[in-house]
Amino acid sequence: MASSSTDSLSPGTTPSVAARNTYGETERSAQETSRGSARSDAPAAKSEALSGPAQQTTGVVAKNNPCKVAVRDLNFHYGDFHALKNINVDIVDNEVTAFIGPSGCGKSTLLRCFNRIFELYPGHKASGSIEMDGMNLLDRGVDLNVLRSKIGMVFQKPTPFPMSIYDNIAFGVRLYEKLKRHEMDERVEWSLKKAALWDEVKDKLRANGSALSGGQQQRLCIARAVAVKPEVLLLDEPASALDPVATLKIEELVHELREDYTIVIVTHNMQQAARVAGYTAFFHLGEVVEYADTDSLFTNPREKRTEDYITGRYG
Amino acid sequence: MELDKVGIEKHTSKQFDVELEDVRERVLTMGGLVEQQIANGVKALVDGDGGLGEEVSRSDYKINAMEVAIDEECTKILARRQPQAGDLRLVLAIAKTITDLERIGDEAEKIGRMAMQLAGQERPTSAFRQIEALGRHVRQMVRDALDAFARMDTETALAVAQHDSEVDREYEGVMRQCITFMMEDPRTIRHMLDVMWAVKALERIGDHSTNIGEYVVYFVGGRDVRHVGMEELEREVKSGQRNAAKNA
Repeated sequence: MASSSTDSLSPGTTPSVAARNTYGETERSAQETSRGSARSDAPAAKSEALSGPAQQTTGVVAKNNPCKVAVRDLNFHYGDFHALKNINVDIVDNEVTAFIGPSGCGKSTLLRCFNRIFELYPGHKASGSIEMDGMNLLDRGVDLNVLRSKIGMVFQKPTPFPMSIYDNIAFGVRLYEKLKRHEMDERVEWSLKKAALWDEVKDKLRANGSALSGGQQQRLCIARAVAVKPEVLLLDEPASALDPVATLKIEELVHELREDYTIVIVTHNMQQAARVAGYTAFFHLGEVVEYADTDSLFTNPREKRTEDYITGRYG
Repeated sequence: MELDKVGIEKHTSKQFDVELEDVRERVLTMGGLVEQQIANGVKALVDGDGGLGEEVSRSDYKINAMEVAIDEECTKILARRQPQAGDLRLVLAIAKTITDLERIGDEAEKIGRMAMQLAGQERPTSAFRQIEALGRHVRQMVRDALDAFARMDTETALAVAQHDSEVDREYEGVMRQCITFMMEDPRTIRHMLDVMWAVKALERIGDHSTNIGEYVVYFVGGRDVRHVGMEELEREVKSGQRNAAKNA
């Protein structure tokens, strides 16, 4: 069922990744190389190189949705601790990608690399590259404010600012854009509608954001992230502090936002990953063990470690 | 046979292991019952034993009840455990296997009914000798399919599928013989038709056994091999074995 770790890092979407992955010390065999090229331009060799029909479907998806963010040879250190080891992952455009794995496996760390939020802490160091639109996000020259307007993030616990619902959203927008009053009103309404919160708060926009329920607060945070019109949304356990109904609302929202954004979601809830994500990456001990389209990963994973984790045999 | 002996490792949740093991065992019990029904049905038919035929057709309800019970168990596991990957495939394979087992049971019941109708009728021994051989073959297929299921052994599963074409040939042989009898003496047509029904039932049992073998291959390798043809099936089983060897 499992193949070597080398070819497991791309969801079968981009030939370049399969060919470029140099993961650990594993030597790439001739067959795996052919697998890489089969994905790009050799349909005849495809059936031979790909082992299952599920993976062929992946290829089709990839054609429509190119890679948005390409992580290459990424290493991350928390001081002396090597938290991410040679990560190579392609995040597919306009899709939901889920990161799953046990605690401490590095999934949140990778998420935090995307908008360089880790730089807030001393001793945290990333090397390698994260490419988006031809630019390496880890480059010193990249303007962090611009970066974070392009890549929004929502955290595990709702973090509304201690101000009105309206200002919660307007706050971020004011940093990047000069909008007229009515334009700002429109933007606030637009973002709240995007976050499926408008109907619940339209009559109390001046009320304090922290007066909302947990699920509403989390949707407010999503509205706030959406308001600056980012290209990528990072969701770090967005529903883990919410009740099942609020969780489903967030999931529904993620599903709708997928049309306009590239979404990366970290979750401990595997069913959630299975429900919302088009692609799923399984992390373990700072490595990406397997990265595939969600359907194959949850019905027929290639790696034994993945199988053990998702079927509840881990540890 | 315990789960970990057939390549299914233990879960963190022991209760889940217990549930899976239980449902698997019940499938095998159901399979044993089905096998017995076929044996009795064929015996009743060949020996002209109407009483035994009646018993067979009366006993089918047990198999039906087991199908319903196991199906319910599978539904519960799906709802409560949300099985993934290999576990998911196991539950699906079980749910499908019992459907085929139940159909085999129905065919056995049919054979029993035909045996009742044919009991006491004049019978050409040569045709019935052939039916007996066919019945033996088919029973072996069912047994092998169950064996493949019990041990999650794709090679045995493949052997079942390969066997099916032999059974089909034997079936055609019996058919030809029946037709000859009917042409020679039109008075035999009525009960020869009954014989043909029974033989057709045996042939169908072979097909259902093949299906069960295919579910085993699906469980082990994750590849759906229904309707792919024998060559493809052989390739899948071989590549699955290569992967298994690589992982070992």
